[in-house]
Amino acid sequence: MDSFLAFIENGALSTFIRETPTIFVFPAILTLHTIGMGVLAGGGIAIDLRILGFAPKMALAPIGRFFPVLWLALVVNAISGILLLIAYPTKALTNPLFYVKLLLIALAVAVLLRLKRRIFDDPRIERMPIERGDRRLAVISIAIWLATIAAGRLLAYTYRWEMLGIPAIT
Amino acid sequence: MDMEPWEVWVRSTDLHFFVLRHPWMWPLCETIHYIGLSLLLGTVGLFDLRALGMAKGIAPYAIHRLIRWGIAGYALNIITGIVFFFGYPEQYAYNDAFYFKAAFMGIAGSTSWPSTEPAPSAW
Repeated sequence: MDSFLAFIENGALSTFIRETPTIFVFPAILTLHTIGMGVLAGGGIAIDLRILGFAPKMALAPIGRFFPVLWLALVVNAISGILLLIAYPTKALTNPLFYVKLLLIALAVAVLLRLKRRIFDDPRIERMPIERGDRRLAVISIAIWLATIAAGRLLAYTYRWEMLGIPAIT
Repeated sequence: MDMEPWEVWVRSTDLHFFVLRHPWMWPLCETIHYIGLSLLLGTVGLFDLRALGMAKGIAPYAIHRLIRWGIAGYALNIITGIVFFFGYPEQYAYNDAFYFKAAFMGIAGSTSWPSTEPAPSAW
């Protein structure tokens, strides 16, 4: 495992992302990752809030049109996330919290897909009250998005050691 | 170089010492800050997309009801932002990016202030 991580970390792409002294490489990737998080998690939470009855006059069926924007944010974050992972593979892959974060993202996306199928893909959507089970799913969805954000943010404070010898902040 | 009077004051406040003495304070506030960011970007973002013509079946005044959650996120971020500034003022006060961010947040905030909801008839 360590030699594999070292192989990536010593590679040209990893070194390029990590060490190019301009805000247009590493900081730009990190910024894209943050914007994608805001759109995906925030948009997901907004849709959950609508399901829970906040903004009750908001038509449900057209909300399906917003999903491609959320998927775009997911793709942006997958790509920017992989680039960040290539830059600091040891830092992420040796931290158990990183795997918790990945699991939470998978869960959040699965719940989002389920809500889409159960509510927004249903042609009878506007004529039927939202079911109890779907409301519960929306609450779970919000909880998972919040936990995902927390896990991602706390990655910055929980890693202990990097292969390149940069000391941890805390 | 002597510290400016404002920085001397910031570094003498209870909040400054609280942030320094409690190592969990920074990660906690960062987490809340990112949640606030997501609430703001998610709710205002969907409203803006609607204003740009996406999902035309939604009445703008109806989706505008979600903006209050974005304003709540904005408020969380001002509070946690103050915590960051008082904890480590040197990270912000001598950083041009901080002033750009503050200016952009001022502009972004002013677009929904006062936060009156548009009447249905206005659309």
